[in-house]
Amino acid sequence: MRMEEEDRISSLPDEILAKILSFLELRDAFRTCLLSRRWEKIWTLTQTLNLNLNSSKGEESINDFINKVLTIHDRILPVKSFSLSCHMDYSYYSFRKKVSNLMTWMGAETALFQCQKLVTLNLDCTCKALICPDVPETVCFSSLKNLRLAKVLLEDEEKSLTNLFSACPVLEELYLDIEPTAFDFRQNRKFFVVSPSLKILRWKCRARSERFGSFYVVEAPKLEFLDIEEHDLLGLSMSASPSLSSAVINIRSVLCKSGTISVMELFQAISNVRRLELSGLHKFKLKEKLDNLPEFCNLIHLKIGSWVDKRYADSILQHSPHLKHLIFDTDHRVYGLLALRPPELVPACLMSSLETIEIVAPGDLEHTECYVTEMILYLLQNGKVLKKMAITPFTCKDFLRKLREYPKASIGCEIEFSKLQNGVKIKRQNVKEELLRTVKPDITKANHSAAVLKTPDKGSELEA
Amino acid sequence: MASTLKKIILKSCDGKILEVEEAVAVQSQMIKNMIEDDCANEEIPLPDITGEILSMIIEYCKMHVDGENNSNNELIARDADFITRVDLNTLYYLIVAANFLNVKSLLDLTCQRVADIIKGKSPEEIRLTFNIKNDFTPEEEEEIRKKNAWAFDYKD
Repeated sequence: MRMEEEDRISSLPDEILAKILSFLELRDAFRTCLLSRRWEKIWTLTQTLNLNLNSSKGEESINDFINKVLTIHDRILPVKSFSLSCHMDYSYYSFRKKVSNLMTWMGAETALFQCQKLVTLNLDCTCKALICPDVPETVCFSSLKNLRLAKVLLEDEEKSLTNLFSACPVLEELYLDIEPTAFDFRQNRKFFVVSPSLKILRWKCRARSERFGSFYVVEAPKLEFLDIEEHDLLGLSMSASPSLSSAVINIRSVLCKSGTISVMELFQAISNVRRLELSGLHKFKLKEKLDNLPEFCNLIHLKIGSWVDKRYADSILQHSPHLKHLIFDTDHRVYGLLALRPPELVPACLMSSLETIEIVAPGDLEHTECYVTEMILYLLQNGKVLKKMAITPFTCKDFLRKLREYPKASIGCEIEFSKLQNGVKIKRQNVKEELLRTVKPDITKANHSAAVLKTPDKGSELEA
Repeated sequence: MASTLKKIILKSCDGKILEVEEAVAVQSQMIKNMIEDDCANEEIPLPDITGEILSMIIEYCKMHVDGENNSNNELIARDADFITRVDLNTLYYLIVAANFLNVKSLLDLTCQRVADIIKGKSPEEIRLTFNIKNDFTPEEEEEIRKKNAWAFDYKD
């Protein structure tokens, strides 16, 4: 790609050129200092530093490099965003002996910690070996709003995280990605997330085996959004967050015997939410009493994903009296459908408030169609105020006939079928992007039971 | 329905007049401020923005207003489709216009696009791509290289 005749880009104002460079890895940005006099100092104006190191040079040279970068930057404009992504292939033990403590190093020797302007800090260490033994108590990130720690190992998590969060008085968004590595044999790890200012919390922990579960304490009274992906939860203690409006919960299993207590505590803590997405929850070991489930009085949007135990799905529906929008989004052809069966008791919301239902079933429905069919008919039969039912995809040929004959509680309910592009052999993760929304049946309201479905061109095989 | 929506009238530097729905126009922070200050009742002249570029920007803003309910991935895919159709010259004018109109997401998108073009290229390749004239003497260039050898030499 070549630009015609003129050099236009160099005529852009400094701040635009700096913005362009802020999207680059630091060394790419740095190289532009050789372009021309116009460009010589531009790279020092970027307040965003992205470092992506795939080094086998040793931590000293990395530290030295980062140090130089930071001191050069600090002389001109304060660094507001610092991202470090390390991909190193040290073995845990050899590295552990030599590694300088990244956090301590940053606190002691560079301007990064003293730079009160840092707003975003992103440490992503896929090296499996970067260890930060202790976060010093002297650290203060007085402007830090976004903190992302991905695969950063902390030697003393309890102490380090407590120190770190107390050093961030205005922290708003925290992302923790805790992946135990092949060299990490610690069990019963504890994570304390205590932050009076935190609004968004995401944590992801994929444990290797059940022996390595984690325990969490969350105290974030201003939390608005919570996103948990946790494979082996040992326990959870969470204080009330009155402003929490949205939660995404994916807990695969709870290991300890008191597991259900902590899950109940989690549900208590999130019972204010307007929007809830649930998946996982299938491996809970106790036959717990779900009666203790709180009432989700504000819940408007509920999405139930794969691996949700039917008892949970039913209970939550029963306890959500004002639900308006319900989605079953299932990507697993067996476990995805666990919750897609008619509940024993008709949930109150189905009769009074539920307006839209979307069912996204796995592409291949050959063996599971009957369950889905049963559930769809059940929902139509009982959904008194239902306005729209969207189904993706549906291949069962008898279904349309059944649907016509079946009594529906809500006469005006629109039924929409979405199909997959190029047949059904599309990977599940692409489905959302590739749905064809065009296959919309006409609905006539000729008589009480009639939602006559006519499917145009693309959906003609549905008619058969 | 549509006729009751308030329209904002924009005039490009080459005299083209475009009527835009308010919801679309307020994607531009500049126009939004003008509406709030009650200065947008007559046509807004936009010096330095041609009709062609203005139409593209409106197309982009419309796409974002219409796509509000779409998933993030869908929007990213549409953004990518929009920006990869643009040649370098147009890209430059889009940056200038997005900066002037203060459409943050478009400014990010266009700057990111330039960054993607620069990425991985040697200084010489970048100069060729953008037609940047090297006004350093060979000695000066050598001096900069020497002074910053630590960074130039740092390879994975």
